[in-house]
Amino acid sequence: MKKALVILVVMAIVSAVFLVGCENSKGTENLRIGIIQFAPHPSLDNCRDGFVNTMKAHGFTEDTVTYDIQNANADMNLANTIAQKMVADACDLIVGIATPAAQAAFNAAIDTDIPIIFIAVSNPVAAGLSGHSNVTGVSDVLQVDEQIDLIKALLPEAKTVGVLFNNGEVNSVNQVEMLGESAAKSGFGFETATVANVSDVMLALESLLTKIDVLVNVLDNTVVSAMPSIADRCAEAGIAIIGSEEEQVRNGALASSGFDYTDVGSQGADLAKRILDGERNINFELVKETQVTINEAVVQALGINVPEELAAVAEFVK
Amino acid sequence: MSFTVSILQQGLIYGIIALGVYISYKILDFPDLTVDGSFTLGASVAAISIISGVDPWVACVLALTCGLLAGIITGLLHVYGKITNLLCGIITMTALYSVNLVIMERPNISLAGQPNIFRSGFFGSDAITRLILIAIIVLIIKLILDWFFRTKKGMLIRAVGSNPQLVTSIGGNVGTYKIIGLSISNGLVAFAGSLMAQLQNFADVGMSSGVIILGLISVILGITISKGLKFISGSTASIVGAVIYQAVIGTALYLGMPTAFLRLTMATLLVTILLIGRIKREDTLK
Repeated sequence: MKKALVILVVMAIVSAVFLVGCENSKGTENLRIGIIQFAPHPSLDNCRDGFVNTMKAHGFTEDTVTYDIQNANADMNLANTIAQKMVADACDLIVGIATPAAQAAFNAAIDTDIPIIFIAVSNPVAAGLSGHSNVTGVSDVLQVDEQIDLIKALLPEAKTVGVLFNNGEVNSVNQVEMLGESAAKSGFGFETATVANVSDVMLALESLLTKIDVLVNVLDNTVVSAMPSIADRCAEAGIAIIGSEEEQVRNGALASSGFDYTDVGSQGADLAKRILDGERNINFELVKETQVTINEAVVQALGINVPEELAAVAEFVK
Repeated sequence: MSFTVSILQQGLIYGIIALGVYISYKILDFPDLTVDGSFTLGASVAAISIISGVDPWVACVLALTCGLLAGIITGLLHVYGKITNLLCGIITMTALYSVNLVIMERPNISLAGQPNIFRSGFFGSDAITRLILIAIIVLIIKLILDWFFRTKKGMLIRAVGSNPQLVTSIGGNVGTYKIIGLSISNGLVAFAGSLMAQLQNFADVGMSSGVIILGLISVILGITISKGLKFISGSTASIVGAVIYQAVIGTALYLGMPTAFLRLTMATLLVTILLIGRIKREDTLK
């Protein structure tokens, strides 16, 4: 009996603390937009900045909107708690950047009609984020066909395509499946090597190098983090890398057909504006803008001939 | 109000993790890192079972069973493989990462729209009902554990950590009881994983990040706070510790603390509580 009493008292104290907290955070007329970024990461930072800046350009400035921007530091339990806080704050819109953050936001708001926008989710259907009236977003699905086209244009001799990825990242697994299908359609051989964290990358790369003619990157957080050392090793071995975003080309990939994550965030902001204007039941969108980028130094080092029609549309970096 | 409910829901599920860690860390005196793998194991087993059409309650039981097995493996490695306790946990935890990926077939399974113990309709589906359901589950687990550790077998498991000679002297096998204890501990953590996957509507291979820290902090927090309060059992203290852990994180978020500082806050809180506990003890000795 005494035990039960103590538990009750503790729970009462905990509840009291939160009720006080709740009162403090209310009472403003402003719109409230919650943003959950899953992890600190350059691409995800760009999504966030692209979103917020475009929102401001749409007139949702800090005078009228309170932005609650939180980073879950790759901790899924924390992502849940942050999402629950935003729902309790009665946010008018919650933005989830990367799959687990978007799922946490979706789930926390499941009993409410708070609209959810996801950004940088490569397969919203598998993540359970499609087909809900209050959920929409931007899918950063990789243009794998364009990557394969780049290989055909720049490396006509290549026969086998290799890819390194973390099989613990759901986005990567989806992209590698698509890349494999696309490579098979074009008659390429396809080799994969998986890693669990950054320290596995170099070993996995060695296992691939002898079997492949070109390395293709997907949007894999683990592999992309190790890009500078991958680029060094591939340059030594004379293997070209086709990147998944422009930043990798600056880091030593031969070329990429990808998008700027700032544009992805900004596309999310366009959706957010439509939602705040009262629209619902918006289907999710694929990333609109893609751009071919080519690294001149790598082109020279590998003695590659860039076809004129490609050179005309591509952006060159050094 | 709804945030408080969410905090309590998550905190009580962490309470089950804390109970598991309490058994390994406090009762068996075995710092078991397996829990980092068995939490996700429970979530992945439950998720794959549910999307294959298994009843969610049965899925929870399957998750519990797999957790029990994981604990047995760590125990066998330690008792018969004579590998040090820390290393056994690391080995099983590392292996479980692959096992979880194989079980789920992909790193993330969405349970949105799937049947779920919290949304079965039988208990209703609003947040308060969910909280009550979790509280009842936690209470039942706690009562079963309290009862079990008063039976003869339970007493012997308790003696494994504090007085192994006693176990040997009455003809018991220390190794066997260690394995049973680890098995129960990991079974509980896997069960918590299955509840968490259903509460958050997805399972992800990375969801165990920080679970061992959370469990340890909860146990130490709970036990230090309830020292001197003799009528609070270790199991209750662990559950309370987990709820406080989650409440502190919730409060910190509410006060607008940047999330990068959260772990630092937890570390500071832990040190403070340990030091206060120590000063108190020294005072009573004087």
